[in-house]
Amino acid sequence: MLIDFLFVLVGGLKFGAIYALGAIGLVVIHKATKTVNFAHGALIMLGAYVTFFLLELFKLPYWAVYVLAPTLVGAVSAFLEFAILRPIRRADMFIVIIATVFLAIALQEAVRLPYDVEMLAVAAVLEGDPLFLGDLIITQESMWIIAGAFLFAILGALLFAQAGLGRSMRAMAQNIRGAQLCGYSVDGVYVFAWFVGGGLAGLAGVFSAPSLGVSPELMVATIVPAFVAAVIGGFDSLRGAILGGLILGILENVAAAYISAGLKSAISFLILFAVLMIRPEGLFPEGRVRKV
Amino acid sequence: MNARSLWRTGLAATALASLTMVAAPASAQQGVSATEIKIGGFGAITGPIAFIGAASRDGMQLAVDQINANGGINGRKLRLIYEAGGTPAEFQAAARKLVEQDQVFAVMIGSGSTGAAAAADYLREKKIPTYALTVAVPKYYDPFAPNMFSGTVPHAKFLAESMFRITTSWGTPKNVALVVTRLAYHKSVADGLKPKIEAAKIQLSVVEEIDSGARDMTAPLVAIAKAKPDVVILAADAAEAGFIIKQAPEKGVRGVKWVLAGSAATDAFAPIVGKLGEGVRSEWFFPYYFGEDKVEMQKFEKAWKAAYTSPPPQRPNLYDMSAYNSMMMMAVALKRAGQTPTWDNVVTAFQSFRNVRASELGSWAADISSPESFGPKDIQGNDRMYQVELKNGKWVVRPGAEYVFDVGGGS
Repeated sequence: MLIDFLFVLVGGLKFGAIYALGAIGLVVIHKATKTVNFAHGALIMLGAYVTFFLLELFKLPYWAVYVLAPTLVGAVSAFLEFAILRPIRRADMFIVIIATVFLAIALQEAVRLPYDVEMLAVAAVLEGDPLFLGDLIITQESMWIIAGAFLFAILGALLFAQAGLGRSMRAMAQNIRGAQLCGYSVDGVYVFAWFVGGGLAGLAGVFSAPSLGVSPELMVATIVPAFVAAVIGGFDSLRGAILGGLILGILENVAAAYISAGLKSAISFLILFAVLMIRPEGLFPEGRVRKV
Repeated sequence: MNARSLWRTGLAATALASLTMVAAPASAQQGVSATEIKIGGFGAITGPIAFIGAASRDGMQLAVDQINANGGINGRKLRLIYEAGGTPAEFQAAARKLVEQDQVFAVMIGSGSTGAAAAADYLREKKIPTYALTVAVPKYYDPFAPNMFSGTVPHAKFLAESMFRITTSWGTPKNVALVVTRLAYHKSVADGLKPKIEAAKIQLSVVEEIDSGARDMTAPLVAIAKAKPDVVILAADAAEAGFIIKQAPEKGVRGVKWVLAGSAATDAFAPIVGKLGEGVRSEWFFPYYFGEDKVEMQKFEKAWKAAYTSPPPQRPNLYDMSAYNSMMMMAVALKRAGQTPTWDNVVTAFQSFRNVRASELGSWAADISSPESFGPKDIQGNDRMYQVELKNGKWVVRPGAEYVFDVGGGS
């Protein structure tokens, strides 16, 4: 039935928008620093915890949380680059990747120690009456997540692509030595890229908190789809990351609704393998591949 | 050696042997010394089920501290050795380490059903007194072994009956949906529920399996919306159950009654569902819920908060409660076993339980659970279940909804 499919589609778009926001931060860091940041899910989780603290303990309004949480998580992310990853920047890429994996685990357990709870919950931004479109029902929370996360993802992509701040990161992504010769500071650009990427992760955490709950498990729950979304998009493509997130969200729900609910998690891995084997450059690669 | 020194040596050897024989019973059984009894426990203290294992540890430690502060058991202090695990293999290894390396006297299972299922065969074979805090899976209870006791959470078949009673508590429904996670605990309860629903000639229109930890519930909810059931049973933890109910209205699921497994009736549930949770019913394991104006409950909560001064939110939880009471039951059995506790006489002591409460140890102990009884063929201590309903965002025990089940001499 069409209405069933529309319900599945809206559900997919809602979670796909969060995946997209998660993926875009991952891509920003990778584009500028060539680091695959496996701690990105932990930064999203941190964003959700900051949301909980600011809303529930400090009783701040949501608009303040949308400003403060990305800023704080961005600062933590920049600090991690400065304190942990900078000293090993010239090491083998494998070591850097392993460092981000263990950073993720350390951050996850660091929040679990003082807050060893089943699940923390925060209220939705908008809790009014849902929108009825015939038989289709869309809550204000879903509308805000789909529109808001999508909007912020596009803004993040524009910041990287258009603004002067993004120019330095793009220059570094093209050629580190060339960028240095043009006067860009490697250290400055790296810290800035981690701040922007971490800020986007923090924002994804704010959007995730009411829909996915606040728990240490959010780390794994977000890094996997964000990573798959980034791979679908080509890993260096901001536009691809956004579309990859939306595609993944929809496919997960379609598979769960029409094949088996148990396939929901497995589908992301199937997509990951399929893309890596059939089209490793992703569906929306930024650069052009030429056969020579 | 002359005859005189031979005589002296012989006398000394006899005296030493006599002393050893006198002292022997006190230290004959592993884990028991002149001054302490070692009790082993295991559960997850990191990872997604840490809220079970860490609470189990804390609840048992609170009981141990209270017991020791009040003189211990027959002159000996209790010492809890708690091993961490996270996977079935780790839980099994933890049980082995406790028995073989730490040489504990008894084992308390704080891991929930998954860890209990993994370690059950080993503990059964070792014949060491074992007490499960919150275990429902049949693999723990069957095949029957007299050393394997269970406390607060009973065999899955009783939980299934308890949930079925809640399902019919608004009147017999025509059409029921069931959503179940892949956790051993929930699957075993769901397996017990299905034949009951069919036997009552109620249509079971939807059976949806979800991942433990799932948050996007679009798929099961679309199936439920299509089936239009009167009652939806959620064999899930608080987070999964909460997100199903939260997302239900926007998938067209409205006006249904919700029934929850006892593991979902925690303080984590209400903040997720908000007003949508009003009237949701769940099975429950204790005569009280947290924050109730009841002397015994207040005594427990006060002691817990004094011991753990900066607790995280949602603590103490049901696992703290179960662990506290379970350690008290173990202590009563040890006390009844006398000055020379052995595995056999502790098992016999458990079998002598008839409506035993924690306060048998002293009025300082809080009676927060139902009284426990065992028998030669009855290893299930708790024989009653309760119901709670969410009212104004708080779980409230439903008066008169107690379900007392007959264990029937077996498990």
